[in-house]
Amino acid sequence: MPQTDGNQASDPRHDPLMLRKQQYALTMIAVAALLMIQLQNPWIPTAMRVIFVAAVLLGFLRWSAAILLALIQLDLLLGEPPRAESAQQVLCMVTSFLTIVLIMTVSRLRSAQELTGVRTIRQLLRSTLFSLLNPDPDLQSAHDARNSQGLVSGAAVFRTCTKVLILMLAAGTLLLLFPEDTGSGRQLGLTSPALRVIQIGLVLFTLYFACLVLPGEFRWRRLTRHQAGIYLRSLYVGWAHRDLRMIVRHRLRRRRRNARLRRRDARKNADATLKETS
Amino acid sequence: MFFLIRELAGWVLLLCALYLISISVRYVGDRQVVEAGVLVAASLLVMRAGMLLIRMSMAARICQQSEQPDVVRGTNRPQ
Repeated sequence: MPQTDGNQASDPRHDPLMLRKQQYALTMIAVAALLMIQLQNPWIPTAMRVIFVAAVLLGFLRWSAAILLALIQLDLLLGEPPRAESAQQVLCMVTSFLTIVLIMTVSRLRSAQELTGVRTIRQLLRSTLFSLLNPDPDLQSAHDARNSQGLVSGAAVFRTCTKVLILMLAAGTLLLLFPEDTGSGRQLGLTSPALRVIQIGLVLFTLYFACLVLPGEFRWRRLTRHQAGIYLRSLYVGWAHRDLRMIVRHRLRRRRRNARLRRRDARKNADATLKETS
Repeated sequence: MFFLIRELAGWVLLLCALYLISISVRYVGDRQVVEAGVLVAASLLVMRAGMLLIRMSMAARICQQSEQPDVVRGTNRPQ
């Protein structure tokens, strides 16, 4: 998969717009395949299918990877077959692969959006039309050179395959650690694979916590005095926000009332002086 | 000393949250999903409280230490 570093953005040979188009194409293919699989699944309820299709189509507008992840979790919880046959297992594997591709592409799309400044499909189409009508010779030659080399370099493909392999190995280890409960019966409408998904999700959350939050806490020790002061002040102000707001509102009300009284007195005095002069 | 006690209390709260999550994993294994959900919500609250205690005590300690000129700290910004 192509890389989108900040240095490459200034280099016309790496056109972020072209990169974005490729990623959109990849994402469209993955989404279309996922939708086809979902629509053909007999064990998924119709309401679930409609929600899935609507959410994926909505995802085209804003491209939030978090929404897609939540959606896939929901799909796993409700849509996974209780006992998969061999053909269905292959289908599940294909779905997993497509899901990983989708998540990777969507996360790449974020960086491409920042590089190009193009947020929606309409903006992308408009900029594509503009570049077609007003071709830049430098970019055109770069595109030709890249097209001759192929869309994706071998190193990028190797890196992507390695990442996918690592992910699959980690997932396999987790699945081995938490074997499927073979006990019969359902509770709360959840199948045993769904329970397994929840269990593994909790373990993943704990790992996420350990890998991300704990280093953050240790990094917190390197605050400067100024930063620490700002944090403490904002914290204390947050705690006392309601009281402070009440005090400030009371003062403002009193100030407004005093001003009103002062204006009234001034008007009375002015009337009195007018009467005296007349 | 008081800051240290508060920070230790924060770490203890974090460990408690992890313990609660492990209990909820066990609940899910026993097909008790609702109980597990309640425990996870509680553990998130405990975790948040622990992190707040740690960060606050750390910031207060840094503010207090900086008044002493012989203390040297890093100047990197937190992420």
